[in-house]
Amino acid sequence: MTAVKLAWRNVFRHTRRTVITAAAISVGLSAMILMNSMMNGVDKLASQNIIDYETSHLEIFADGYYREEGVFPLDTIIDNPGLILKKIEQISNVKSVAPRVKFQASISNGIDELPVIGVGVDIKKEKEVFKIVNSVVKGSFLQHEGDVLIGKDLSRDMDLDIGSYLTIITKDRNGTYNAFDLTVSGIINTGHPLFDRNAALISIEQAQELLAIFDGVTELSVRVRDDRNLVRTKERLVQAVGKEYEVYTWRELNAAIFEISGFKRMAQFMIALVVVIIAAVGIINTMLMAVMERIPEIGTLKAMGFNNQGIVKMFVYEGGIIGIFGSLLGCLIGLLLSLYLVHFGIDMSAMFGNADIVYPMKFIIVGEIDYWTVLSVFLFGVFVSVFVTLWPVRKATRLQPVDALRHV
Amino acid sequence: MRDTKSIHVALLILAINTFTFAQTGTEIIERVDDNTVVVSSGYNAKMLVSIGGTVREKRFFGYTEGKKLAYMEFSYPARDKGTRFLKIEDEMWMYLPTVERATKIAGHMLRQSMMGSDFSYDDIVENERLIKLYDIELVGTDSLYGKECFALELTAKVPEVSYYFRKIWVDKDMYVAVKAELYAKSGKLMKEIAISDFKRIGRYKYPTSIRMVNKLRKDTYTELILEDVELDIKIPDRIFTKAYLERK
Repeated sequence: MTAVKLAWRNVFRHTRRTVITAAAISVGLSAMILMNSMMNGVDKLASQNIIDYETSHLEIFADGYYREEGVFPLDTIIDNPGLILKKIEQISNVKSVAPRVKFQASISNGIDELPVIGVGVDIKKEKEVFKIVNSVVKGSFLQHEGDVLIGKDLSRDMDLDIGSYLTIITKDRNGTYNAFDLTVSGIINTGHPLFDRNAALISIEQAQELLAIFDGVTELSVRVRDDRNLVRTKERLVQAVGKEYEVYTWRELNAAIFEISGFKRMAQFMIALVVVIIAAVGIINTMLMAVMERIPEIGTLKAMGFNNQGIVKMFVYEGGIIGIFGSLLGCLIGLLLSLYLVHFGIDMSAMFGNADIVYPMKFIIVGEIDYWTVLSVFLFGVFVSVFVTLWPVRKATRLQPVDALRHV
Repeated sequence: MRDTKSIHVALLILAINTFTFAQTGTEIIERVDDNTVVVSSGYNAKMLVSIGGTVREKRFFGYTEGKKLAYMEFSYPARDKGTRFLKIEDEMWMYLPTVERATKIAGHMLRQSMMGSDFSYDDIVENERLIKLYDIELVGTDSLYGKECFALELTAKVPEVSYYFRKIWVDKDMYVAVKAELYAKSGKLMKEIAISDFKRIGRYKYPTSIRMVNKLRKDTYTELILEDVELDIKIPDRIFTKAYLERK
């Protein structure tokens, strides 16, 4: 107990020095927490966007369809989705299935032509699997043959509004040009750049006619009831549909994005680590100074019968107290900044420009706090503070009381 | 008796008339092909790309052999200088001097505009004779640019065509196509081509001024003017190779 009391008093002998040392740790830790919240937010939003608008939880293609992202071949499609639809729906974890037809196209407003991804959606099933229906901000969802839904960015770029006409142009399965005049029935705002800027949604029947693929679809999107064990559901799907089809989880289809995200996390962690190391050097410095200036005191304590263990404890506690202060402050600042992110978000679009073309979200970063990370960052801060104290302390334990007392 | 005789004569005249003049659409297109499909060619060309009233000029030269092989190289403006294209059958490659490697133009890239013009790569890649791809019907005559023309309607008879339906107007005297309209399967007019000048070279009447209009855009057209055309010349085989396309 004496050691704790002594440590506590020692900490406040040089308040300013203590505060500066602790603040260095705080800066490092709060940066770690903030970066973590940012990355969590980015990943969560990207995942949500992918699941809610792009792929749902699982996707089924004809065998050989999926080559890489952004390629939409028409030579290997699911010609008769009715054959496997029943089998898929019978799997217990499957909530609902929606067919889609994706194709490369361009749209013209009579003045300019712009490349887009055409998406044919099943008007009834779509809302059971995706959230496009809820993202209509103007007008209404597809209702009649000849309706088209476009994103708000595309509507701005092409100067299109509800009731405007546009022409969708593509080549059908045989390579023959086909083009339909459509009326804009609704404008969507999803937060997913593909759909807000780059896609035109039409009824699946119209897409099938446009592409001359009869009842064919390019994919079946599956929403599950419980997404915690997607891999098992995937295995059951693979068994159910057989070898003529391939099944992917949304994560597999977006592996590249999560790989990027992993690299980013790594890089950000490294930066934060450097800050923490600098802070640690600060602690070493402070503790070393404390040891140096207290050499006569240490001599006195030792002469009075204080053993080495007691000395070590005293300094380690002192480092620990500084560490706890600094870590607490750091976590608090990190949390407050993260909370700001959670509630307000920051618009990074100016910084990233059009980076959202590769990342399935817009760069308004909304934070997502992981409290386990905050706790581990706190413990990490305290541990580092204590650990780096050990070296200066060694010096103190090696002192002979006689030499120390003579030291001026 | 005399009545029947005169009827016979009348029928005979009619029969001869029909025999001489009632050509089918296919025959007309064949005669057009005879006039314009050359063994090989070499040319300098000027391309005037007009977008919203602003005209930009591009220059290139090229060689063709039959309808299957073609080579083009841009020489003006400086930005496009050295951009080359090679077509072999229905495949097309593009070489950009900045990339220093040929890339294949495939799939949906073929739909895109070539060098910002109203021509798509598709329009250039196409190499099959029309009579193999289309049912051709003569639907009447029209007066176009002060010339009497056959009006023909072409409907795809095989699935693998770029344009499902075409209208072509053929000059009655010269047997050359002077105008064509290209339609999508849905019946939407996509492109309009007008040929306003021909050059008589040997047995050919070769189109030298072609105006292409992409009807899906507004206020654009591209005018292609061929100069220094040489026909049925010997072109070294090495020109139509990827190695030549990628040469330094």
